Amino acid sequence: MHDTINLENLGIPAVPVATAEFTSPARIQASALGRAGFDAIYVQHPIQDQTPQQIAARADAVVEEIVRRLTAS
Amino acid sequence: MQQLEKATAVPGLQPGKKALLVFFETDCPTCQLALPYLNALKKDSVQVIGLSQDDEAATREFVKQLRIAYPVELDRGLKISREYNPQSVPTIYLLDENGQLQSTLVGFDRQGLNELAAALGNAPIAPADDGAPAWKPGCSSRHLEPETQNDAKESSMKFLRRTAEPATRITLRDEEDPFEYCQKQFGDALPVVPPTVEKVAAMVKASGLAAETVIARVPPFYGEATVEKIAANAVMAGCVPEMMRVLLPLLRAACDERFNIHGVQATTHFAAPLVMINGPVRQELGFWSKQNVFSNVARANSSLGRAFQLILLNIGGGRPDGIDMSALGNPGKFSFCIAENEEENPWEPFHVTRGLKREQSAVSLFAAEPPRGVSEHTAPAGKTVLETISFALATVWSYRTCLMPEAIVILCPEHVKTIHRDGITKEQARQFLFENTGIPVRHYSKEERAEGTQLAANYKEITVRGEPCYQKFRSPEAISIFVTGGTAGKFSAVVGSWSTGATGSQMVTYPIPEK
Amino acid sequence: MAVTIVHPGNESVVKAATPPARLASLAGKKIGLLDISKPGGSIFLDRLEEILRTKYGAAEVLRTKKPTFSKNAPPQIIEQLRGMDAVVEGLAD
Repeated sequence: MHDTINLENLGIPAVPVATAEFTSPARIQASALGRAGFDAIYVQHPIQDQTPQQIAARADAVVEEIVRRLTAS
Repeated sequence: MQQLEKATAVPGLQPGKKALLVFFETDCPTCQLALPYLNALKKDSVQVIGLSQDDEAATREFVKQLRIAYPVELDRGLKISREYNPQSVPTIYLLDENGQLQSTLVGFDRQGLNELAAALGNAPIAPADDGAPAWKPGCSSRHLEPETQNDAKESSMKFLRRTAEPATRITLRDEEDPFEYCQKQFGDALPVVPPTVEKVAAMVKASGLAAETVIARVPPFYGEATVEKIAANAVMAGCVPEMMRVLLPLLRAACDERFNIHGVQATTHFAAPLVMINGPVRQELGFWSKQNVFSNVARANSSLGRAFQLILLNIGGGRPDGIDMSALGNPGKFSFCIAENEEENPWEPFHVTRGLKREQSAVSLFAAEPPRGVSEHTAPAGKTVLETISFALATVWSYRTCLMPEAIVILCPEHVKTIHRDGITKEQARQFLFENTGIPVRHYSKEERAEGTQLAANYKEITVRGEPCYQKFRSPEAISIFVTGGTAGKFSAVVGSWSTGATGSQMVTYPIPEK
Repeated sequence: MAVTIVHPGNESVVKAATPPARLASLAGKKIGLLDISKPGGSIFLDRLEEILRTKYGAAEVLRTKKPTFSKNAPPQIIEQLRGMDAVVEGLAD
């Protein structure tokens, strides 16, 4: 979240992706950095013990939302 | 030696005198860190000239905020930058009396700055314990950036200020219970002492510093820890005013980039910063180092550890119900402060092994798991005691994970006595633990994909007790020894680490000033 | 008697930044994918890269990686991403 907001502050539209378990800290961090309401995109937790196919499916599930966040105003 | 024949003259550069040309950008954090150090160079040893790659307004602000005491010129149109062609800023060029390039220093480099100072006949200008990292890379030089990117400059300019506004005064309504209010707003789940204006003022006075002085910026919110706000948390934790002497270097140590408190606070791991106290300050402020050293035994240990945690919560924003995501947490997050029992330690004390003098009081920080106990009451030999401890060391982080973890061996007085009696030195004890902590290779199976097995190809195979094992630790230095506790009971402990090294947390030791 | 206390918490004010304008579409754009170095993240970003290229017409995808997830990205990584039209960071778990 911190890196993403640094990039946004440089004028680059950006979005972080995290697992749903990190919803609360991501929002608190965004708020502390002056961007209350700026949210991450969340995929199903966990990741580290998943097969490559399962991880790719996580990407499939959120790619539209990622594109929407980078392109919608 | 490269002869510098430059078409564009550096403004203010006097011929016949050694010079430092310091190229910088106003919004580069590394420049903001590095440039003030050059103030300390003796004026007659060298002429220092700052060359700003930014406009006049930004440069003026930079000089004012950071109190730059040497001449700063604007590099208009980046003409001088193009000639000298620094790849990143800050870059410092040392020119001799004839304008010949003597040396170049890139980025922030503590040792490099001190070597530069020494070459110019100065005392060191970058002290080892001021909280700055040993090294920090700079930003790309403005003349190498594409033209269009200067637009965003305005918004990215941020200065680290040295003083902040006074803390807000909160006057409670008559019917409000100050203990209830403070526990709810600023507590650690237990009641705190209300930080009244009078109590905080006494604490600030003991520090000898101005209330608004910024001591550190505490992650994850990078809240400004002013002397006054640190004092308020110290009052809440039950500290005596004299404790400010320990709390300020402790906070600087915590915010040392090597320690990486940001990572320690945010991880889902057990890690909590373990505070370790050495030297005469133990007697001066009453730090306890005997039985129950990890417990609720002494005001000094408990209140210092608690004040530190309250600062992390209240100023840093790392609340355990919010951004601190530790899966199980750590009882040490209430307070985690021990002192070494130097009197029962036949070897050199911990802070001496860490490079300080014995009579220097010191505070060390380690990103620690809770202690795991090791009982060994029957073995008569020192080596056997160490072997028993090595079995506990094998379980640090995760049994099959080698190389990454570190550990502190907390030796109780009875154990260290036995080991020392057998003629084993501190260095030999550490070496023995290093060589005898191994995980049997038969406990690894690739198919199970268990943590630690994936990296087994990088592990070193050794023989321990006649069995092929992977060596647990990467070097003897990954194991530290700290002697503390009561003189009855053959119970030592092993304290495991969080992620270590440059990508995790490195142990830091800071001197505590004399009273 | 009313008690007055000193605020012990963070009062540093962070100025609310203006979010940058979003893109009309990703077609023909340069997209940065910042890997935070958590296991599995690169597989996620591999898949994302593939879809951004094939389905959304991204002209260029720059892959870069933080040295560690536990710290903010160093200046060099931010510099690399400066030239991008948009960036996706992942994957935290």
